[in-house]
Amino acid sequence: MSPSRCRTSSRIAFLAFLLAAASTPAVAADVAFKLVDQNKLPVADAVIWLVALDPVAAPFAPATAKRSDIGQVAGQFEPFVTAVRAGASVRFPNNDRVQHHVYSLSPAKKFELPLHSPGKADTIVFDKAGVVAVGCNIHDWMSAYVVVVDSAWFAVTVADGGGKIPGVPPGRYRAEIWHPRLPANDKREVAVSEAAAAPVAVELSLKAGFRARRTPPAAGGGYK
Amino acid sequence: MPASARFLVAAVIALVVSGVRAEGWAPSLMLTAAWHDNVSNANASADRVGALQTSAALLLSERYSIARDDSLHVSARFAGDWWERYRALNGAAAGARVEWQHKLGLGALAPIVSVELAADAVTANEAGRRGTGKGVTLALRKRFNDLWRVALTQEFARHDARWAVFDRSGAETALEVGRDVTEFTRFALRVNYRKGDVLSYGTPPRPDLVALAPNRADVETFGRPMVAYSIDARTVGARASYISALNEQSAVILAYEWRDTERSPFHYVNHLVSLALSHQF
Repeated sequence: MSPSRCRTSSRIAFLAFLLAAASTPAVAADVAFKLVDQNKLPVADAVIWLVALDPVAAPFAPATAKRSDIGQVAGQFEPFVTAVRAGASVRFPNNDRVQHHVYSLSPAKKFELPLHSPGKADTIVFDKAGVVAVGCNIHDWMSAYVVVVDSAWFAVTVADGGGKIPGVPPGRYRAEIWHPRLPANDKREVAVSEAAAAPVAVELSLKAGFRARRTPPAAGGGYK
Repeated sequence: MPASARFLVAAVIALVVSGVRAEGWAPSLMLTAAWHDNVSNANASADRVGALQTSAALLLSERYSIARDDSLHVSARFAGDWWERYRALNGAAAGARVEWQHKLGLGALAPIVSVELAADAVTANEAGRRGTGKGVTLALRKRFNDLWRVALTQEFARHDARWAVFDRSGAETALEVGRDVTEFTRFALRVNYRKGDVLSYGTPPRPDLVALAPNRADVETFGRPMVAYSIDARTVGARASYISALNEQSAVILAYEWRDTERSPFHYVNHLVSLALSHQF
């Protein structure tokens, strides 16, 4: 690289740093959520993300900085639900003893990893926001979701229904909530302040439905 | 050793030595207790015998991917029957299965077609029943959505026994519709049509059965002198089963099956109730 091009690159990097430093608020808050269903039971595997209603700068972090893994273990995808920012990559390590054929037919991302043998760990980039249903073409009961969001602030709820979005600048936001059994995304406005706040309590009306399970086949009786 | 059994053994050896990527054995065990109201397949009420059958079947399977949409499943099967009241029926079988599966597309809803070849060596307390079994099963399986699935199968099976009366061959067409009721339970309804040999027992003299059964033998299978008649008949049946998963590997299956067998004017009906425990290791 020539000295002049090197100087130009350094100036651009410095200006980018100044811009990021100037636009990042001094104090950002953690926003906690607590989700229950219509029976007051905690809702795990829901994805919550925030969309800024006021002009705020997103954290200076490229979408590809963080990579997620969706492993295949004991005939299941782990984790069941993964949230990523648009542009992020997800690795699919096969930590199982058997071969899998990971695929998705979702419009947000169509892909397949055929003959995905134990030890392989291919990576897929999710560049378009939307819900990507992932399956295994060999083992029909295996399912997982990748929720791709156009936001830097998102979280997946855990077993107790809790989820925490860290580093949110103060301001007004639209919180969107997705869950496999939610007929449509839940949307509500939340205000984020610098002061610590109690978790945002949300009650969701989940539709009936369930994950396909691996169940042994029922064999018929033979003739004597 | 029959030609089909030799073929299966050769196929298994060829796969093992060829180094084709295997998935590891996945044994599954099925323990069943079944009440048969008419084990003797008799049409005369005096000859009808009810009995409890307990059985165990162990299936060890290996899956080999041979292409993106094709796989070969090689299985070893060991099975045993135990009849508390009628020990002559006790028996065991050991054999092999080779199944080729092809998936017509990508996704859980894509249909699967398969062809399975089976061969078994069969032993029994009643020496005349010992022999070999073989069969071919063609299957088409399809899921319609998360809840509904269907399977259409056509099976051709043959059992060659020491005594001709215990020989059996038949062709059976079956359609099974399954519906997941909850996350852990499923209901399945199977209807089938079979054309082939059935074994019916009767207390002689039975000139009506003699006219239908070129092969027959005097037996004491059920503790009294009877004649076993091998009759070429047609059977229609229906089976309703309720499957409840105990966990990801185990399930209990409660089933009721009805069979109606006829070779005019000969006719009998079977009712079976069974409870099974299935475990996938």
